Amino acid sequence: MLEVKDLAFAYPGASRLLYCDFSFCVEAGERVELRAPSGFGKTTLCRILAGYEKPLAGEVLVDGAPLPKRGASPVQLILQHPELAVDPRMRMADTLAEGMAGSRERSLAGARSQLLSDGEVCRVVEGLGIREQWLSRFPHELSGGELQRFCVARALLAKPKYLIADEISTMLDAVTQAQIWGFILEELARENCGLVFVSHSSALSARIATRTVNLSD
Amino acid sequence: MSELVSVLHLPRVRGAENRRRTLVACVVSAMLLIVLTVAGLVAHDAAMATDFTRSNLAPCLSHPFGTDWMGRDMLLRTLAGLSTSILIGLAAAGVSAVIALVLGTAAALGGRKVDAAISWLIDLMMGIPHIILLILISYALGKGFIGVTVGVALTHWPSLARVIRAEVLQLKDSTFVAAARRLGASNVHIALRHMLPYVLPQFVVGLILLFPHAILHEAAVTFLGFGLSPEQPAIGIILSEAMSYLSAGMWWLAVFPG
Repeated sequence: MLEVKDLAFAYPGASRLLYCDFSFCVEAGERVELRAPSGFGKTTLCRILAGYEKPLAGEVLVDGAPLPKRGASPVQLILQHPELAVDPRMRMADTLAEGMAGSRERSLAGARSQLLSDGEVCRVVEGLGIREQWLSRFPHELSGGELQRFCVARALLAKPKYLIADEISTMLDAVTQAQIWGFILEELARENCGLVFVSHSSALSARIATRTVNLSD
Repeated sequence: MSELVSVLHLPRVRGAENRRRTLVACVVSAMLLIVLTVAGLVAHDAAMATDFTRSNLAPCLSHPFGTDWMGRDMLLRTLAGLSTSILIGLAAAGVSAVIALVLGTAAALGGRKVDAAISWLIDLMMGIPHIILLILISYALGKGFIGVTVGVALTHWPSLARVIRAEVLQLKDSTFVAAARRLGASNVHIALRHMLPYVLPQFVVGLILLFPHAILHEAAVTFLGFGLSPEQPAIGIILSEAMSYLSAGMWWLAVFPG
């Protein structure tokens, strides 16, 4: 279970708290939509859940334990802007290998050389429609949608227990959206992995969510 | 089809050619520096040999740069002076750049107190005219090669340290570093793979810009009499000694080394 307990959060210099005594939990295998108008802190909550931001008070627990300080986090975040989430000077194969190296105690060089001989990587790469020639490219040689597939693949390879998706498909066309979400849902079901997501497309939310949490209440 | 492919690959080919040209230029200038240094080291003793029967000769075939009032060959003295300057420049710039790298990185990663202390030190160093500090350090260390090298090294790191601090700070807060950390990347991995490729170009450019700066300061301090000892052939010494002979019409003493 992914739990948020008595959360309080404010950005430095802000005059009021963004969250105060906020609690919320997600069961394994559950798919929760976060819904709120702009500026209500959906992205901030996503970042706190994944450990990108430290709350002022309260804690984030995965199966009763706080997020680990070292090693691969059991909560993986996929961001809205994939171009910020990958190192512009690293080839995509190396970026992808980071997802494997952290979770499986493998050296990065080892992870890279085994990249396409690893059955799981092949399955994820194929399922997300990543072409082999993209692997040797730099991020600026790929489009936003192509980059986002790498970010999804990298997060899934890290074997998360919970996946946080912050408007990950807003820049994609409908067909690509369907392909990527279809694959993510398949993977979530296979690993019994929970999902917290934000989306501005109500049709998409209706198809994915098993529960909706309204932050503006 | 093949034309299309070749058009698509054009930037990459041009990039490779550009890289090769840069590499050739680097190798040629490094060779030049090495040859000068070695020639100077070899000529070091010969440059100190005096021969009063041939003093004050104007440039001729056997002495292309002329001789000074003690009959020392000015070509050899210039070469030896250059090599001393290059060695001091290399040592001082290298040490200075490493100080900048260590302090800049420490300021960015060491927390608020360390950052405040190092930033204060940088401001302090930048606030003092560094030629004065350089003279004081060199004088306190008993002048000579060590005094000048340490002096130059200790006074020239602040601006590079500030650049490196800014670069590492920006990287530390970047989203891709946060993502890598959440994916389980170690600190060493992040430093080597996500920070080094960004800091290295700044470091190399800083080092290369420091090199001529260090040489100029060495010459300046030596010229003022707070640097190398007068019997050593160094550009600053040669120039400051030549000063008093210029009015006697011995222009070659200053023109060639200068």
